Amino acid sequence: MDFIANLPPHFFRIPIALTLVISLVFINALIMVYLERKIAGHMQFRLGPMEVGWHGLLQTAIDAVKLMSKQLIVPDKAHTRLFRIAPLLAFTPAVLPFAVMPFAPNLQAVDINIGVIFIIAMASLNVMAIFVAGWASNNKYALLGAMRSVSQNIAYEIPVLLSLLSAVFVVGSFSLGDIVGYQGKIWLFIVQPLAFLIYFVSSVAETNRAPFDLPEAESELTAGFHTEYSGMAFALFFLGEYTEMFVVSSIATAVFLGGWHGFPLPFFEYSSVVWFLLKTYFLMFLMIWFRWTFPRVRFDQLLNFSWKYLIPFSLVNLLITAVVVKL
Amino acid sequence: MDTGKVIKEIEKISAKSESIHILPGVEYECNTAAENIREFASVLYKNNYMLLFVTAVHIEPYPVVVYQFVCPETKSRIRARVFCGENKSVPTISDIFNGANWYEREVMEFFGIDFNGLEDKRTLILDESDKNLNPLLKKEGKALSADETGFGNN
Amino acid sequence: MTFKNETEPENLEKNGQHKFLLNMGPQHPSTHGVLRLVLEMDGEYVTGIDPVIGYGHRMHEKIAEVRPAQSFLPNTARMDYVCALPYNHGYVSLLEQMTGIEVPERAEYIRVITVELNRLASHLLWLGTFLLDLGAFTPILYCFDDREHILDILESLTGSRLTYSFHRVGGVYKDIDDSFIEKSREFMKRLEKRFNVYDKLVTGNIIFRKRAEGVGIVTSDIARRYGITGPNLRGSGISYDVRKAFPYSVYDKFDFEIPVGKNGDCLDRYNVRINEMKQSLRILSQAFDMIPEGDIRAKVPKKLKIPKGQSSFSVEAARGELCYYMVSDGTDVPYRLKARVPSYGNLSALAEICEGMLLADLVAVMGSFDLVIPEIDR
Repeated sequence: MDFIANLPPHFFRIPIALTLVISLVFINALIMVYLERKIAGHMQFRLGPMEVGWHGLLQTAIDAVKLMSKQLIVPDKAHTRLFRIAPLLAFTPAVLPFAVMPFAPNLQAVDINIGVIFIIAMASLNVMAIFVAGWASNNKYALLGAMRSVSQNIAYEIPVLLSLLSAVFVVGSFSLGDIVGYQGKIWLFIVQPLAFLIYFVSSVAETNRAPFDLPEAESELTAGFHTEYSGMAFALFFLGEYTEMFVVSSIATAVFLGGWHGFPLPFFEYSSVVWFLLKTYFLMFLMIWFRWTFPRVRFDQLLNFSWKYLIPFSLVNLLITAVVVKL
Repeated sequence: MDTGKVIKEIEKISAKSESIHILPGVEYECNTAAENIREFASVLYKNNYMLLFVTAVHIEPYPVVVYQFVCPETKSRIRARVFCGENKSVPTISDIFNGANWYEREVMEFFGIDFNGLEDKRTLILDESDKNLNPLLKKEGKALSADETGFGNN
Repeated sequence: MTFKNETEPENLEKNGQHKFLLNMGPQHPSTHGVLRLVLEMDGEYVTGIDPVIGYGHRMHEKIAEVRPAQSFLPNTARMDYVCALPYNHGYVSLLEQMTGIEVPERAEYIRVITVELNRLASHLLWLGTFLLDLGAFTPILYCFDDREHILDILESLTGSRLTYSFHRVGGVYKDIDDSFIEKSREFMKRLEKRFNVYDKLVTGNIIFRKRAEGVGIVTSDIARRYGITGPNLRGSGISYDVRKAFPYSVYDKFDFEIPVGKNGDCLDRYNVRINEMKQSLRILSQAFDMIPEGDIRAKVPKKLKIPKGQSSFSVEAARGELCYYMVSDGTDVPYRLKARVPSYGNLSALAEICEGMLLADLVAVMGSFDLVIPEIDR
């Protein structure tokens, strides 16, 4: 027993954190798929899933089982190794940002001093997975989707970074813990409304969600980069997408919406976690709402929107912030 | 634009118009010689007509190609019929009315009529291997003459 | 645009540009049926289009030559299954015109009522799928909801929901009753309110406007050269509607307008179709007010001999001018029947209209054209 007690604390902390994060990712995906279908259903005057479980609650679980039992079909002339690696590449970087996510004052795996940068770096790895998937499929639709994805992500990472930088300038730290701590007085959303707006729009585009879902534009490219994927490989892309949604929403929560701050809730001992999740899921609800309301933008319009509006505005916003902070 | 003027112009160039009869649904109908159909079409194109369809009817001895035009402004319809010669060949009008391209290709594969000058001679609806099937040609001995079908005097 | 051999090496190198062939369809979410487009692409830009049709070919024209004219009626409904009643209407009217059968007025009113209801259903389906092509998922379910009401109403009268054989030579199959009129009026009230919903959801949406405005412009010259008809032609500003230009049936008794566009872009075609639905409602409400009492079917011999001769009859189907052309040799079997279907002319212009545009715009234009592929293949 002494041997175990003498091990460094990280030895226990990391596996536990990993287990928690992975289960969070899967549970989040289950909840989100269910919510997406249910909300979409009610927005369209229909019921959504109703058959499996009470009000279709178990539908996504059953779907997951189905996806797991399906064969992964590798096309004849595809690059087999890359084809198989791509879904993992999509999934792994999506999970990593949870390492620095401040869910509650004491619920943060590590508070590294470049937390914001770390998250952006991890989130932008996603595009590589999409590109690899599109390339390895040996399918023209997939390749077109991958090409779109690359230019889209390059165009929208810049406004994401710039708008987050404005918030960082106000606080004076890259650490997410510090940023949330700063917002005990006033939420950054009120100080930096433009930055929040730009961040949120760009992050919808970053996650390839409608109306910016061009890499998988169904009516144009059948299914875009994951045209050739089936079974669990397809499910991993799906998981990656919903996890990414969760990540960008929780960043928005942490940086702009006061993170876990909120008045103490009755009956809840850890109300800060509840607040954090509530805000995050509200933002995700907004994303779902967008998806089922808007038509898809065209590719050139999408790029123009970023380069002509979002980036200049976020630059100006950053400049003003810098001047004000300096004064 | 006056429909009467157009008809006069048509009469000039298609001197062979013999049977002129008013039919329900069509204001003016005429027979045109194969060599005049291009000129016929360009006169109609200049007068803002548009092509409604090109089709053919298999009568003895050789099939007839039927063109129908309509003018949206003057609300008049004109139908022209071209009696094919022995070589079963008619000049194309697909460079005047581009839409004729598809109709002519269809007639080509259904009736085996050759359209002179038609650039794109692939089959349109049938498979390439059925190019000489010509499904709408009547069977041997089943085709009737122009008079028997009430197709007018040629 | 022609590609001589589709199995050629896929990288076409022309003028130093790298191009590739993209095979779109026959199974593709936005080719609506079995249309196949061979696209020559330069990146995202479409530099050449070659439509390949014929996957749904059934040779209706040959079938018409081997059976009595009256028993061909069900086939007419299977050309354009989305808007089948105008096809019935055109065919029976052609036969009546050739044989000189007088149709009771009440029957003509019932025909107009059913055709206009069917037109509404077709346009609603178009609205949903057009927006689906643009990437909006929700409107299609709203439209299907409305369309469902029409199909229910028509089912109660005709017995079928899609491929009707309701119009008969000399009249119609069944008389309408009060409950039909009541249901229809209720639906018309509902649809008028729904236009506001569509307006709020779609028409004012900036993304929709940016996707539709100035995209896929059909000039009146292109329309003439290719024989584009129907709302696609009217979107280009040419006010040509068979119902007005050559009034048939009882259309001359109704007061309605022909909506026309100006530029011939996708937005104009959208507006034309939306306004056309409103005009259809106008026709319907007048028809219900004016419908006379009387017979619904004239006496027609079982073996209908068609006199020698040739004739054509045009009606305005939901997609444009539908023209039947028949040659008869005096028996009860037509000697030759040609169906001029509107989508045929509309699709043939696609290659010229869409050359050089983005893939996403091509999908938008195809959606705005309201193509029904089995109608083209016949």
